[in-house]
Amino acid sequence: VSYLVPVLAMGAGVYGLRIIGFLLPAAVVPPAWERALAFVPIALLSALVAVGLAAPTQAEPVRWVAAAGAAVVAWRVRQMWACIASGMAIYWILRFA
Amino acid sequence: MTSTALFWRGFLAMLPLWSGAIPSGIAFGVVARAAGLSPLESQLMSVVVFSSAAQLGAIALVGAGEPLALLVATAMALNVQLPLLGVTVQRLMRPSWPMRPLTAFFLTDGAFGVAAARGPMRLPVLLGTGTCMFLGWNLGTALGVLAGELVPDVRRLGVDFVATLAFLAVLIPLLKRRGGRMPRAIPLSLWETVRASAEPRWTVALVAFLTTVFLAHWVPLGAAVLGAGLAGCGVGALLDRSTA
Repeated sequence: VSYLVPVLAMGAGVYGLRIIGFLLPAAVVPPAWERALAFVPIALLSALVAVGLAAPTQAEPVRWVAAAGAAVVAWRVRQMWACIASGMAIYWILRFA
Repeated sequence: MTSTALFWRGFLAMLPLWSGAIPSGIAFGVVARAAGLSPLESQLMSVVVFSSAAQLGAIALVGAGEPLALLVATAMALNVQLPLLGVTVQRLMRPSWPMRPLTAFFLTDGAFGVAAARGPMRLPVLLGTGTCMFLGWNLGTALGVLAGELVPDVRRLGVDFVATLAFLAVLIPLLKRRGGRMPRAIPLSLWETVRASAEPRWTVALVAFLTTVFLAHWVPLGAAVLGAGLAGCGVGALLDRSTA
């Protein structure tokens, strides 16, 4: 399967978002929209975490345990690698040990 | 200061942030290869999309054979802050017409933040921070792709889970910011939870998470993510208004 078209289409879409503010500098976002937009990162990141844990193709009980452990680490250590390393360590130990 | 000097000032100011960009680039490279992208496609994605959230989000869906429109919509939804950022840069720095496409290409939250922290906003400084982040992200991706080549059969090891953990690593600090409070542990109803939590961010996360878990069994994953995003933002906007 070639992913060339999806890659380029995503690039075009995200670049569109980057350039549009430069082309329409006078655009005004309604306050209600701005309030909702502030929650986009939290909502989408939560949804994507849920995909990794609950998607029919990816669901494994040990992933829930590993994600919980990694969440505790992320709460205490800011660095991204600490969360990934601890989560993968728990996951591999539970799965292969 | 000349434009060149300002550019390098921005570039060097951004360099410490490679400590975050390279590991997440490596994570993306490994996950992209595991999801079935060729080395070239993986690297090309980091060049043309240049957004860790969009790329990891798309990769989490690509493996499930999601329709193209949903991939693009998800990648864009993870970057809705960019138009506001573009407006801000345009108003502050007024780049000329020929410079706008270039400035837009390298625009990221991080690059803007670091450039803004370096005193008066100058366009070459922003181009320097942006270019530096672009190089770090792509270098990390290349290392991740190479790492994926060295380990045979990465898919069997479940490395796609790295993407989930990377999202978690970004999400937790967003929830943790001051004032973050857990909703009640045993809610009477969803609306009770919503009312009881004075901090909308936790509620938004919970609503989005549960919506995805529910929808994932009925609709394509990309649609579940976007539906959960809409539900979460809607709840957040409502709560924000009632607590304001």
